[in-house]
Amino acid sequence: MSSTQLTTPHAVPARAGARRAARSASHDSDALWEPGDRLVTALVIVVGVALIGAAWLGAGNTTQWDTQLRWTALAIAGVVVVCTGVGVWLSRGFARVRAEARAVRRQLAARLTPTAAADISGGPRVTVAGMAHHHAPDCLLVQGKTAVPADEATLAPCGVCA
Amino acid sequence: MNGNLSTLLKAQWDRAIAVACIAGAVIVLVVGYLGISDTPYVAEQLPYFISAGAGGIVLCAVAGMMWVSADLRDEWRELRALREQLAASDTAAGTTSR
Repeated sequence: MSSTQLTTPHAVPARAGARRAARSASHDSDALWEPGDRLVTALVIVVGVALIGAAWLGAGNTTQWDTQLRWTALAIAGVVVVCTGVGVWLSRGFARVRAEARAVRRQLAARLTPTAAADISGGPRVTVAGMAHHHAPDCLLVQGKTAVPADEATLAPCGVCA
Repeated sequence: MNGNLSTLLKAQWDRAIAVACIAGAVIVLVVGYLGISDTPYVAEQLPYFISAGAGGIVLCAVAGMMWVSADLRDEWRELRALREQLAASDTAAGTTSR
């Protein structure tokens, strides 16, 4: 999909729109996680493990309490880094599964009755100039702002109302 | 028997990694405990605490990540299949779904 097909607010640069379109298209791939997610998570975990390894070597090479405490702090930082990588990986997976479940719900609702579809989807999705996500009209993140109809194919779903 | 096991491992590789990580974590933590309890000196205990303690936590975290990832993948596949079936039946019925 090219950026000329976008119906996002004109304040959003075309290049950012194209990036979003590419991201949205990759959401339709068969993999739950994108290669970028895998790379980032693997890198973060490797960095965390490297920090722990460095801390272990550092603490093993000295008998001074203060120095060993510093290495211990580094090891704890390594654990935090690993847990952050794990958290990012899982949160991205959960977000995509939620988006997929929402799409299925909308398809099912559209089959039943148009009113049910509107109830489940919360009506047409909207966005605000400069936003990277589309929202339900009653989403708190667009309250009090000038909302315009959003192109769901080019914007990511809101993590709050989706 | 071996065929069944290899098929199971291929189908459930993420859960197999999770179980392996948990087993590794248990081993690492036990080794760390033995190392720490073997010496009264804190300077000798801290490297065990760092390597075995932090290593065990990391292995547990990775195991949890792999197991939950497997559950998410299963759910994703089911939703995908359901959405494709809905789209296919919509197309067959001559209606537009999206």
